Amino acid sequence: MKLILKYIQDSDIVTAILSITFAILFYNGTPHDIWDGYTYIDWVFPLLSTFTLAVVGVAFTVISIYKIYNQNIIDDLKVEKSQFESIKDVLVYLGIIFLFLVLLFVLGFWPAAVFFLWTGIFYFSAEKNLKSARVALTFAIIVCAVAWVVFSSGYAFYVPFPSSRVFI
Amino acid sequence: MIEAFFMAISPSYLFYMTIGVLLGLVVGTLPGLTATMGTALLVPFTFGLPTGEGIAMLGGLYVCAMFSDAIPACLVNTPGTPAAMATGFDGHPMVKQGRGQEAIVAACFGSAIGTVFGAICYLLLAWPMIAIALKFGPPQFFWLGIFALTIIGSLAGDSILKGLAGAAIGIMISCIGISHAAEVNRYTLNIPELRGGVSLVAALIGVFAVPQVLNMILNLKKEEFVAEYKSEPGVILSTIKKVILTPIHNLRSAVIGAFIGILPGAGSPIAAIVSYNEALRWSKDKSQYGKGDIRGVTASEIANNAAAPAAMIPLVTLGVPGSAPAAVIAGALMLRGLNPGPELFATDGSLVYSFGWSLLIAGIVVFFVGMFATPLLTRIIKIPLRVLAPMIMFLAIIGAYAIRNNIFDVYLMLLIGVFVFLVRRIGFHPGPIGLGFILGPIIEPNLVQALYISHAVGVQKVFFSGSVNLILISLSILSVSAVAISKFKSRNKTN
Repeated sequence: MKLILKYIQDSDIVTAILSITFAILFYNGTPHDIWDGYTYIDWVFPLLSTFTLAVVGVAFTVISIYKIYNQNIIDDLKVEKSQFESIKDVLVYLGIIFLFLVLLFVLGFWPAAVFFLWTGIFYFSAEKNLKSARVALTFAIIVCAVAWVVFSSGYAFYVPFPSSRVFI
Repeated sequence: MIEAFFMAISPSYLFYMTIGVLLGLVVGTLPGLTATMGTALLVPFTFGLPTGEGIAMLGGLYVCAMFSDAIPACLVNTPGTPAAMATGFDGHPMVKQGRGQEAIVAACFGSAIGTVFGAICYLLLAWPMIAIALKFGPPQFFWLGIFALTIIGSLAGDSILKGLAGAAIGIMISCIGISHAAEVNRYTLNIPELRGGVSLVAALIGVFAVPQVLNMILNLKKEEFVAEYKSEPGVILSTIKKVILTPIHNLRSAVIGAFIGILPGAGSPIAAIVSYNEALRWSKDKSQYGKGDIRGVTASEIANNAAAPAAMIPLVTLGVPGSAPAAVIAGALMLRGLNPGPELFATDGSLVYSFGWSLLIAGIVVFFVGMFATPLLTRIIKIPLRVLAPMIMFLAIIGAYAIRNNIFDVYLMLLIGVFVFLVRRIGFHPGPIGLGFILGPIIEPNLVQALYISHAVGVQKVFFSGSVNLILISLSILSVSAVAISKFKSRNKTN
């Protein structure tokens, strides 16, 4: 396990795994009877790309085997402890986005957008207190109001954003 | 033609064209809103106007959107439209170096040069240019796409292989959906929403905007702003001087843009990519490209703007629109009972020429509007990242949704964005992935058509004969060889 963890800290080894995985996934998505009649025409272009990716994957596999054989693994993907806090921020923000995507069907697009902007700006504020929460909320409401005028009011554009499926 | 010029400079023409330019500024600046969408939304508003003023307004919006898409590309590395993808390669590094105003002024001046050149081609060279364009069929478009793909070598950064892998992944994802020939489902995993394919705009927002936002968050502890904002007096004149001092580069970019613009289906994105690649190939000092070279910005902007008026040439000469916004303008003409094509030249020549003059003047208006707006727009980078990052993400979500009114596009954008954010850690550059998304839908339909033709006359005759095919194949080989040799030389130098 330790050895695997060590290997997946080298970008070339990860590239080899990724390229081959993608190539296999797309190759498996291709029907096997494509050479009957003219069906191949639909698949020839994605297959060319799949084979290109497979060749790149094989090239990186050879590079990786050579590196492992020569004990020349570079841990360029190693995450330092000091980076954990920033990675946590990214994960929390992805969580906020996920919550927004759920909430927009509950509250409707614009109320969920206010929540999304407010939580995002407040979470990244240097000082988290009532004042910064109020400032973030005011800012979120102003941005959403301007965006509503541009995109939803019909004065400039009319984009039918998802509405609430709960509060009809 | 003189009479048409006086029509184009009449107050009503100038007024409506300027309104179009201002709307184009908004449309291009917001990622997700494309020139096509902008012109389509504007068409109903032009019904109350005389025909000339109406299409001048649409033309103004189109050419200005081709400039303003460079603003988010430079400032936050998120192209406003697919045509500005190559602008960000050097524009964003310029902003990071505190040369934001210079980048936007270069983009604006380059756009003005491109638009004026394209409009001159429209006014004077429409018929000879169209004679060359008619030599392009599906096999030639296929090779043109392959030639554009050779830019991967320049974009890939340290590893060409990773660039190749990125482009292959981009192309494969662009193949998802119903196929071009027999209309079979490809890689749709039985998800109905995937049958319509992956929206190009949503995918590009995913490739460029989402990883940018996540990177901003990742570096929030180290950086408070995108870059330092510097207001330099005299930057406008000094930048214009810098751009003027590269006349051959400018002319090459304009010619490439205008030529690719007249090829139906190719459009501004491919013009900008090919122009950037050629600028890099012909440059004596390639070391600064991708690191903030002003020529990278102008190569892309001159070409994508020259392509905009040039895309109108096949419309007025053959009745075939050269780009999607040109198709919308064709629709606007047809709704008024006018048939775009040679017939329109004969029956309403003054309208055709006044439109050309309007596009030329729009290029000049874009320049002045851009110069006025640049100091204001550049101040975007003064917004702290902790506020800017959620705002970009919010606009990215709106842009991805608005293009097809489909929430599934937002999911895909986020999925692609997180994927690109992760693969950037292992050395993948987002450029080749974006290139795959743009070129896949251009190359594949032409390959399919060419393969059908080859059943009748043979593969060799379709793909490997004819002067245009041979020129494009030679250029592709030359482009790949040049990159390989330069990489080999630079590796030998470092060793």
